[in-house]
Amino acid sequence: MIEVKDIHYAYKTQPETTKAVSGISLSISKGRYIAILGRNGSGKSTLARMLNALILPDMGDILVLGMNTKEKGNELPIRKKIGMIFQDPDNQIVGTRVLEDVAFGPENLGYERKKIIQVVDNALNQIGIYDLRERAVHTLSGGQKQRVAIAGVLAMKPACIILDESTSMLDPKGQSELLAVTEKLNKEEGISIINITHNMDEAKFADEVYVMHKGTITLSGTPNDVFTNVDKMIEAGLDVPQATKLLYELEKEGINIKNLTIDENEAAESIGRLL
Amino acid sequence: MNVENSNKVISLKNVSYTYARNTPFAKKALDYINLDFYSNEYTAIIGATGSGKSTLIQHMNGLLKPDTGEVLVNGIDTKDKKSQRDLRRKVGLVFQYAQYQLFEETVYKDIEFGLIKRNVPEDQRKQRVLDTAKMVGLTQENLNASPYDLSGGQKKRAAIAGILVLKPEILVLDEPAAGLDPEGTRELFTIIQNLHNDKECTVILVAHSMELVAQYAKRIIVLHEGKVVMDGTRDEVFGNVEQLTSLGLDVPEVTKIMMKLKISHPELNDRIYTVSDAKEEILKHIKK
Repeated sequence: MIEVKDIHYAYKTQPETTKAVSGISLSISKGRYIAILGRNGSGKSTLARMLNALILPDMGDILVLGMNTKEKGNELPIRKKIGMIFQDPDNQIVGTRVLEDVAFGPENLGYERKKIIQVVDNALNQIGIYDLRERAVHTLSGGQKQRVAIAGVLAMKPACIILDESTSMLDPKGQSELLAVTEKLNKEEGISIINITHNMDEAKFADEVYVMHKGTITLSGTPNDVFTNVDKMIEAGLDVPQATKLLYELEKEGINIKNLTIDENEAAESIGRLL
Repeated sequence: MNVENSNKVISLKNVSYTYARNTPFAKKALDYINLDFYSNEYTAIIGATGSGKSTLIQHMNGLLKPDTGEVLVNGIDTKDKKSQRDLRRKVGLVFQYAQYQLFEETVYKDIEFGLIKRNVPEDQRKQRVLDTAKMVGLTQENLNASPYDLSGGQKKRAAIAGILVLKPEILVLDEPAAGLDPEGTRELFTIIQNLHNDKECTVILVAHSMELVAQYAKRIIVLHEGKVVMDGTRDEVFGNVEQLTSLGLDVPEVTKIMMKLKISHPELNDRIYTVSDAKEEILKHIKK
């Protein structure tokens, strides 16, 4: 669904240019749940902005459903297919009431009134915030605002939703509510999710994880593959689960740990066998 | 708590607070809280969303005033109008998203701002800004930069420097790790630890990560629906998994592993909260 071919990008601010992405290739198939993990400044948000044509690669190409982001006229069809949720819940709400905000996209597509109401109601129901539809947006919690933003994206019938650090300003409750919604959309609607985050707990449930460090992808694979590569995770400034860290530390002491795992129960079992 | 050798620095007596009092939206956030904090303690306040954590710490420097009861800081009532300046200097409060509150042209000016407001003479200001910047790991280059050009972690340090430059005796932080990546979080907690150790700063913080709380805090207070439901050492609080879980909280993952192991290996100590302690305990019992 998304093909990224050896892309490069540098921010051109005077007097210097800062290289943000240097040579990334990846392929995201339909219906996958992807996590992109990396420190602040690792280039992950730059990558996200290139995926929905907010910025264009200096070199290399990105194809979204076969459409090259560089070609004129492709921006709008691409953004209709790839919705983006940003970090700050207050920076992406355009309506005063929840209904108005979610209707903004469909209105701009020129739908007739009946269809707008239908699309908006469906989106609100799918996200589980239909009861909030008459509320003024400023009275909502951060987690609720992010779900309104997702409903707004959903009303555009996207094939993929990118979350760019969307949970980082939310408390644990807001975080888990938002993640539950993305998992539901992924499983039930087949919408691909690309979650860009530095929170490892969010990456544990992904189908595939990519780790970004200094503008390149340094690790990729299943969550278990990625998190058990402790040296590379530390190098990228990221955390691994305590279960994995404990096994890794024991291994460094010369203890024979056969399999590093991210699973708490498996870790307890393999330590238990040594006692 | 070790009361000998330590002085009471903050005392909350029967403190209640309701948001939007006398309106249909009234929400009771604190419900008859009684707590004493002593000098040089390192306390973490935990609790589920809406349990009253942020409301509680905003009472500690008089930003919020209790509806009932009183808050005493070094014996001075926070309701005392004449003491507000003194209070804000003694208790440095760092908000959850302090990194979004920087406003000056340069980081240097942002840190200096509080000193100017407090009429600190110019010749002393420079040294204090430079010393504080060094303490939190900001370079000269960072100081000359606009706050907007800093990374998230650097912004947070700049915001904390703006508080530390006033030399607070008590540092109160609302979820200091919010918005920081793991490396940034580790760096920040090391800075706080150094302040606590070297400057004998009393630290009170709200945190969501049980791993961080377990690693740094000596005392843990658990809030639930505006009430203090647990208050004790790490062992006392994390030892009570059932109660924590019922409150929507958790224990560190490594503690859960040790508890599982203890079922089949009763000789193990499961009062373990950090990876390095778990490693030591397992190495002691491993078959050679």
